[in-house]
Amino acid sequence: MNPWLRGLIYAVVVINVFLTITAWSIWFERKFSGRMQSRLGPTFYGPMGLLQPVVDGIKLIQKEFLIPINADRLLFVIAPPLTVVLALGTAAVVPFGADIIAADLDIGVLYLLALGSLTIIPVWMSGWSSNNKYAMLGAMRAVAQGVSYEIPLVLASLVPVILAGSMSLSDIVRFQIKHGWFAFWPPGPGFFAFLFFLPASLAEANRIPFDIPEAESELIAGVSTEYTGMGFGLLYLAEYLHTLVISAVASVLFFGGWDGPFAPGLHWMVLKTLGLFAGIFWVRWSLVRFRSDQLMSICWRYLVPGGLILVMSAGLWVHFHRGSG
Amino acid sequence: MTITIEDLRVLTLPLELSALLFLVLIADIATSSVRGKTFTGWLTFWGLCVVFGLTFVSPVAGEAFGGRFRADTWTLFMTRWFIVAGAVVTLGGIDRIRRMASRRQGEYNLLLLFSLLGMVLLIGALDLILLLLCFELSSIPLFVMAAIEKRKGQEFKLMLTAEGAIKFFLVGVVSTPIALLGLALIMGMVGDSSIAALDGATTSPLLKVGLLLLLSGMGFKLGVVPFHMWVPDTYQSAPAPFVAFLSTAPKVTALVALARILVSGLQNRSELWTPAVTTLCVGTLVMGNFWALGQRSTKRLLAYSGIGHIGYFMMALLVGDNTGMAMFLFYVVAYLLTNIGTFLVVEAVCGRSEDESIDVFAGLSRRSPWLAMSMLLFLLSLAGIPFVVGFWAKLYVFIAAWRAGYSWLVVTGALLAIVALYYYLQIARVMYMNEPKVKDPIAVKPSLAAGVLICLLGIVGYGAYPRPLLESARAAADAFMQTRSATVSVSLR
Amino acid sequence: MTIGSVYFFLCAIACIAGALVTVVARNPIRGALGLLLTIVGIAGMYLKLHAQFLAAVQVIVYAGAVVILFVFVLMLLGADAMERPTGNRSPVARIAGGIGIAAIVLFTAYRAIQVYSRATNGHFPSLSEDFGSVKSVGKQLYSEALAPFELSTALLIVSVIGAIAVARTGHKRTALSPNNLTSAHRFFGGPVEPRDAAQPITKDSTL
Repeated sequence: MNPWLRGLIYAVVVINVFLTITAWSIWFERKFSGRMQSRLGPTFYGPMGLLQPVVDGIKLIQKEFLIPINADRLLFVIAPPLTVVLALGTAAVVPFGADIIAADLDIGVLYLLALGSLTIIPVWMSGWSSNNKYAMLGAMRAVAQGVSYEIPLVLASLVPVILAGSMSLSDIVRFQIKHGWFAFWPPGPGFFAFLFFLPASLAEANRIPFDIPEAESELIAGVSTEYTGMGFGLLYLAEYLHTLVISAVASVLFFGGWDGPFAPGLHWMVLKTLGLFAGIFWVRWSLVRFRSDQLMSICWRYLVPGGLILVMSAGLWVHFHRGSG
Repeated sequence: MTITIEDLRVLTLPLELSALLFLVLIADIATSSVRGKTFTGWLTFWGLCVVFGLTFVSPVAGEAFGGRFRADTWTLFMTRWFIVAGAVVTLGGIDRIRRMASRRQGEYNLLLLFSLLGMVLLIGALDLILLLLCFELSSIPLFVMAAIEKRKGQEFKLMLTAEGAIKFFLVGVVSTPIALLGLALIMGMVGDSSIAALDGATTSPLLKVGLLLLLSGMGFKLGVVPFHMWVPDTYQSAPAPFVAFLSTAPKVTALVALARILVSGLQNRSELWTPAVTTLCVGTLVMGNFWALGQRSTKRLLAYSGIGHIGYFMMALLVGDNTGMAMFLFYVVAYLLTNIGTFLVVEAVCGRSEDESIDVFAGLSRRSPWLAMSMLLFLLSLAGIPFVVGFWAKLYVFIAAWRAGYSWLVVTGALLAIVALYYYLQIARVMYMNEPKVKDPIAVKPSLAAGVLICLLGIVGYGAYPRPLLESARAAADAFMQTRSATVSVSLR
Repeated sequence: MTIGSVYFFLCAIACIAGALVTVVARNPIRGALGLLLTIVGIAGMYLKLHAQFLAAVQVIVYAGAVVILFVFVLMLLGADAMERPTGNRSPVARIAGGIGIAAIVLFTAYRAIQVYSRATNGHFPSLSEDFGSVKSVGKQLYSEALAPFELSTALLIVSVIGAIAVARTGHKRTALSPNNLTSAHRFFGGPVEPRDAAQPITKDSTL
């Protein structure tokens, strides 16, 4: 097949699948949080409120997209689509099965990290261009947090890379199929790397408990304060997309991706991703938000030194393991 | 290629310096009192003395990192003089830094050592990338050292310091990319980053553009004339002991980097770079010396005189052969000793009052005859009067340039040396002829006096008996000119 | 015109446009974004040169960290803190400078194209299979380029020490006694933001 055509088909599929999952994940989260708080969540539209995302979407599209008079128009308009584009871009290298991958890059992990580091920029753009002090404060917090948490994120994702000896995500999965999932084997580095990866990536995606850039109780809605209609919708969507991609990447890096018995790989991959996704919601609705100085000390005092130790121990493990075997 | 223990043995001297650096770092972290921080200064000084002594114990020769770094007679020679410069400057500056930057003494000494490490590595570098990195390592600490003094309550002085430091910093960070772009073009035309491969460069306009960019980038660092604007301001505002360092070792480092690329790398292609260097040389000689004439501030006067001296250095580089390099090295030593000594005397005289106009020197001979005497000798050496070392340095450079056919350049240089004599002797006249405003002698701290004394002994000693220095300079220059060496040796001297 | 050269020209235009915006933009934030565009364009060019690793690192380091830090500083100062450049040079000098720079750039570009067209007749050596891959870059870094690589770490240490030495104001932080340590202090050791919260509310205090 023509590679360009193949790429196009994959892109359409990936975009649609991810957007659909994301839309219903919002429904899922609302149900989930409702149950956690002893209420029912959405029930009105469709069976069990299943049509709620559709209705939400229609509502958002109908609303007017307001641009504040003192806003930086250009940046204000391009920031929300850019967030979604970057979030979807990361989805391109996630393998959902032995051959179900849009682009199997040699540097898959690096690509993820590169796009991940770029995600701060549209967030900051939207906050700055709104010309609103809450949005500005949110943007500053987002930038500080993103720059800091990028380091533990890189260190934690380096551990599977070192263990598998490759930066390609599908190679990492193949290695795990052969030698066991990194979250459990080798004991130590892999599991701790997962424990570091999750908070660091949550912080990059500005999710609770690391959501001080939004902090609705103090900053109204942070960067998205001034956004209405679909602009707000896209920012909201991007946040969920991010969370979804994070769960997918974490299941690839630490839980063996499509590896699993009885069922085809795709099922396992989706199951693991959604499992982690639900775990993240669980965290979100049970933990409180960290203060901004606590956030910085968690990163610089614990995650960064710990991440360095993890990388070193992973290197040592590989060294001795290969040396003996 | 793998890195072996043999490679590390070649790097003995830089490694010794790094060890000292770590010691100072630990001492800085371990101490918190001002006295403890001053200890880092003494540690730096004595450590450098030990490293200097060690250069005589186990000189090593050989190549490391697959020929990217070489240790031989040349590196030994230059390393020794850089260490001497660093040690004397530390010694002379201890008191001033304790007074004016008491909480930052540790950082100051640490940065000085980092700068020295960069210089010591640079002189052995035979690879363009390594050369550039070493150069950056030697120059980035200087930006910070220029801004090390923060005064409370003296807003004007603070602004002045900040102005000089910022100018220095901006010029530094802007000139690096220029030089880098030049190096990138050169490397692209050569297809390799080693110095030895430079000879095989295809003669293309891009190579010339690269050389031009490299020269202008380095020109900023050197302060040659079209690129010199930052020099007087920075010298005036920075602490004098630091200026003693800034005006000598980094300039020599930049000149050595230029010499490594032009004189040794492109030694058979001198037609590529001589026109540009000649232009810079003449411009620097003429303008530097004439601008110095009108200065009323000692530091600014010495800054312009330093610019003029860069012109003589470039004259030696223009010769472009072993003799030229040997004379260049002799000039380096003479300039190091003389300029450091001069700025240390300036510190002794003007350091307390922070007023460095020439009038402060009035009647120095009656207040502190020894200080006046040493200042006079340093000035004579700068001017090139017999029989201090500066005279021989100028003479040798003139002879080498004359033989290489640059007779007109020699005449220009000699005429400008006479112009220079005028402004140097102006300070001497003020010192010996004018009535002092204050009668009491100047209190000089022993450490500062010791620093001045070392420089004084150097210039008088080598002035009276220049032969040993000349011979070691010759040996070093011969080693320098070998780009593709089969055997590397060290002659102990 | 192949797709490859279309891609190259897109990247090139992005680079140059970004660079122009960086220099010309009156608004410093726009300038920073122009820089971002240039950096992403350069990363795109690396991709075209099969240097995928370099491209990714370029984006991570420059776009993800350097530009963000610029932006952060701009935001801390406030974008209006920067003085608008006032034209105190005569228009003649500006025009002459512009023409001079343009002449140099055009001349260099012209010569570069000449050299390029000469060199494309088989002068450039073909690259090995794994050129630009993570493996080959890593091997280079830890064998032939080891010395510069290690030196660059020294350079970074110098920058950190220097930045701290310049920025440190010498303020002493008030010591905390074990009694007034909050749990936040015990766990995170950091300063607690609402410093005045401990003061008792009296009748006089207005809210």
